[in-house]
Amino acid sequence: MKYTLTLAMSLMGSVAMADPFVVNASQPPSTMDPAFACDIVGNGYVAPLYSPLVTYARKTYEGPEGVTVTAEDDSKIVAALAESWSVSEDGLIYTFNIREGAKFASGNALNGAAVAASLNRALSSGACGTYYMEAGSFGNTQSITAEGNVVTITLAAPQPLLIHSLTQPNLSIVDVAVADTNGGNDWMANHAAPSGAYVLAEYQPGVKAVYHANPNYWGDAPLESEVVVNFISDPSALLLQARNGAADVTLGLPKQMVNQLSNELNVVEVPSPRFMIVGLPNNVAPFDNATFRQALSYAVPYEAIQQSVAFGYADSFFGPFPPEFSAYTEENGAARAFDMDKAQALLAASGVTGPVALELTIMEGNAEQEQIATILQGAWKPLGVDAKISKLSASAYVEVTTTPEKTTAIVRFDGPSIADPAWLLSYDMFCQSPYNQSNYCNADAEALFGEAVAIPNMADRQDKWNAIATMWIEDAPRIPVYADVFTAVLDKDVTRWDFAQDGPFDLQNWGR
Amino acid sequence: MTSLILSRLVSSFIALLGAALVAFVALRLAPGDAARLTLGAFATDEAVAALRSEMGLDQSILTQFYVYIRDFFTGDWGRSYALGEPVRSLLGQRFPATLELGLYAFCMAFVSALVLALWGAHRKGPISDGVPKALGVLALGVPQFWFGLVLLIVGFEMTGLFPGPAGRLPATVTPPAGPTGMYTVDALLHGDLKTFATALHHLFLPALALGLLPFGFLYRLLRANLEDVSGAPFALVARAHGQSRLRVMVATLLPNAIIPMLTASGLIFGQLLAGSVLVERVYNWPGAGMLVTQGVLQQDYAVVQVFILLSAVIYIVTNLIVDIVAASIDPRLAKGGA
Amino acid sequence: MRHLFLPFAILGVLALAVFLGPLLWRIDPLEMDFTAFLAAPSLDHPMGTDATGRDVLARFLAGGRLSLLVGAVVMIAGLVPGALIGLISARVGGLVDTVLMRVMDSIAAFPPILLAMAVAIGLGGGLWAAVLGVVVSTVPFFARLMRSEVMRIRSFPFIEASEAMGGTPWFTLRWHIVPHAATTMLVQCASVFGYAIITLAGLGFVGLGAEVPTPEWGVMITEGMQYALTGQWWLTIFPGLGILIAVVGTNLLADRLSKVLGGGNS
Repeated sequence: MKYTLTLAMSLMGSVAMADPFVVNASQPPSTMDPAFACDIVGNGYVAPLYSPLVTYARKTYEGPEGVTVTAEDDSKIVAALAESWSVSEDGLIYTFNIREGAKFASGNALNGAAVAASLNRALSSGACGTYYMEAGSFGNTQSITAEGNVVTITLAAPQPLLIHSLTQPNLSIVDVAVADTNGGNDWMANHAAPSGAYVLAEYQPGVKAVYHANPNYWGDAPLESEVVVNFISDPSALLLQARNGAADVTLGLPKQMVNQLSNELNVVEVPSPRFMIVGLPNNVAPFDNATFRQALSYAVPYEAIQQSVAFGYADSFFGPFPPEFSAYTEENGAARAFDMDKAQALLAASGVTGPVALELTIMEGNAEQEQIATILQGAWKPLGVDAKISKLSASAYVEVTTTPEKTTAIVRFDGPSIADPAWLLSYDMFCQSPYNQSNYCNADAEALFGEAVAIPNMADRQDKWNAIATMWIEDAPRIPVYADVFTAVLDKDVTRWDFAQDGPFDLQNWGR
Repeated sequence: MTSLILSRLVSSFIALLGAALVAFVALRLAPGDAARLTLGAFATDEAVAALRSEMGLDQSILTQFYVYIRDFFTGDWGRSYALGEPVRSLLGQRFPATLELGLYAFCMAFVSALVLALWGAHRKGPISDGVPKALGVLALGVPQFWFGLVLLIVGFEMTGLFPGPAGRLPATVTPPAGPTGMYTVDALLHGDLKTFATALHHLFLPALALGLLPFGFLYRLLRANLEDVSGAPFALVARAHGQSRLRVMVATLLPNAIIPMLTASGLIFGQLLAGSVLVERVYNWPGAGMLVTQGVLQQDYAVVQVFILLSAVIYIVTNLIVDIVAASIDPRLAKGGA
Repeated sequence: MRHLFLPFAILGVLALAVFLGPLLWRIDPLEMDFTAFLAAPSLDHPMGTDATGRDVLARFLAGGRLSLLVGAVVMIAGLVPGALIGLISARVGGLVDTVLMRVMDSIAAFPPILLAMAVAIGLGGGLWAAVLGVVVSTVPFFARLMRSEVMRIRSFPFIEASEAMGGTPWFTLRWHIVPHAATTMLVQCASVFGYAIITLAGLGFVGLGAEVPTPEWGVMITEGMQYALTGQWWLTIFPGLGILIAVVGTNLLADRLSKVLGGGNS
């Protein structure tokens, strides 16, 4: 079928759009607006549409035979829409030189003023755009101004994460003029005002998105001129289409199915700083008892879960930082053993007696979370924990995870957009942070965190991170079940594939 | 006759109101604040309160019921917050898929039930009578969704004879544009035989799974009726006139056996609608039934509520029509009050 | 009685297996064997294991106990109010009859499983909400049948005789009407038993039945659905067969009972 199509195309000569590159993905984005996209899945669909000022360099990964796999190298930032940039000695003023003659897809000039307008839009969005623009330090951005093609960002205090944050889709440049004429934020949720390699030719929320190459793009043309992304929530349908060759790339398949397909198709495996985690409600007795939490953390059959849920596409760790972080070391995050005797001893030491009721919150339709919750329910029973599993719809789940007071144990798949301890801890360490998934609160650790981020050179912070990790492991506020090995299933004709933590949708680098 | 129609109209109307009340009570009790669910997790309390009053949730229960009824009959069926679209347009988009599936399921069930019932009544023997009877009993005992999975395992996974659960057409085939939204019909209208065949191929397993229960039901109904009428005087007279058994069966008995089936058509519609909720999910069939299953799973009840009430409305209206038609065919019924 | 042998044999074997089986098969249906995920049927696990290493046979037996229990509960809980409503309707007549029957019409207008679904959602989900939903959907069938039975029996000469001989209405009811209606109601009970099992499984399939980790046949099929196309057929096939056997057994029983007892509905 494919062959005949290609043949027909070469006979007709010029019909380039006849055979689009098809991506099937399990999870649709909740919005197409970069300033409002908030999760690592949603960000991915936005990324192909908008250019960031700077971007991470690429490193090559070992992939299946015949496929060149690249991935972000987060130790190295290179120019993108900004040709060059500089940071003042005191770390307070960032200056970016925007490429001459760049244009939006609309034809509007992509100059300094347009970039500043876009960054200001993110800053004032009140959503994740603000978080990224401030790089987690709210109120730190003093001004974003433009003169000709030079954009200047002025900060109140040094924030070395800002340059990382600017690589993200959330701060990529939006054609504000187009957004505003069409109705602003409401319109942007389902449409695009692109500056990136692609334009959004068609978008049906929850069904499909069609990307066409942007003729006005300042950079190299993408490898594929038309990409169709289908959102297919049912795993067996995803599996089937992958097998039939109906999809060039399949994302979000349950690992068990990936495992099965690995005989017939190419499977790319990229260890990622994303993780499956169980947040314990640290403010609710007896989960406020650190020894009790320790006991629970030893009563988790980590190996078994990795085999049965992740089919081996997983890494073990126990600490605040997953193994893919450069701050991770054996000392601050080695895997925890499954040891029921130790768990029982710790339980006795904790003084917690009698049955403990616990609600395990999972997202409806997520078979992996359900399986983990079922295993935990059984594994914690001998410790007297009477766990009940509550499956919530996607929206109710978000509600529970964003409510400041957590009263249930939340099973969650998560990961920071930026693989840096300061970024990760800034939303899960602070006692007051609404993003704190387990209400973890340790004043000493928080003080150490303050000292760490005051050190301007990120490389010099390692000692502080180690000290925080030691406290964290002692406190066991959450239970990292495993770090994910990201998997993509590629059809045999796909030769180029690229992984980005926030996405992984740098579509321009995918192709046949 | 007029009085019969009038009394049937009145009792149907009462049943309709009652059904609406049942649906209202059952689903209004459902947990979750409809306004908050509509607006999402990040909504402010003021916005939720405003929407609550806009949705009439702060009104008295009686007013709410009145508004509910009025909205239902004026076609304002609310919004699915999970899909962000009005329920009416969602159901409108999905219904042709369900209708097409139901149609094929019904045809398969009806034809096979009829053939088997005639065969069994015509030639009474351990096989011709026993096998269909056993099939009928099995059909009523099989969980439809499970049967759908078994068909997939056998028909797709093991033998590869039929397509897997990938919906109505493979992803590579563009669905026919067309007036009905039923792919087989539209493909035929466009003279596109290849798409027609592909669509039919995709329809076969789900229609079989959906049709099994109506098959069992229809078979038993037809079989019992054929038994009844074959002993009736007019059948004996026909036989005495030297007509062959089969001829008598088809020409004389059939019309007499079919009337009771017509009166059961409300039930059959109900079976097909309820069945679509169970079967469509197994095949990823993008119909109204799958919308309902997803609605239940996502706790997005607007769609569920409308679908359930619609199923009752269809049942009541079908029965009303059938009663009136039956009474006009058979005047005895008009007196007895069906 | 020869007619009843087959259904009784089917149901008897099933009941014996699920109630006495655990004495022989001593594996806990919730116990996870971390060394055997998705293991195919073998001597250690005759029905294989599921995704968390639980023994499918043990879960099958536990699910069977639950299904049979639910069948019995629904039967009784539907029969009592249904029969009462039918009786009152028929005996009192008039406006009461009209009102009660219109209410029953309204309930019976829904396809039963959709009504059960609505009630289960309204009650917030969970096993017993689903069971109650199924109960509600059976009430009109019992009520209508009881009403028509009472009407039918009342027209018999021996009732007039009984009343002429000075029997109180209660006496007539107790000694003449109820015993005669009982046979028909028995047939109805048998078919409701099977209906309850299959409907509960259907509710479980759409996420409205038993909660994790309770083994229930419908939920087991749903959990196994994802594995149906990757070769682990045992997760779906066995619980489905359980439902099939139980429901076919009770349907046969209802059929044969109505034949043996003469008349009634099927």
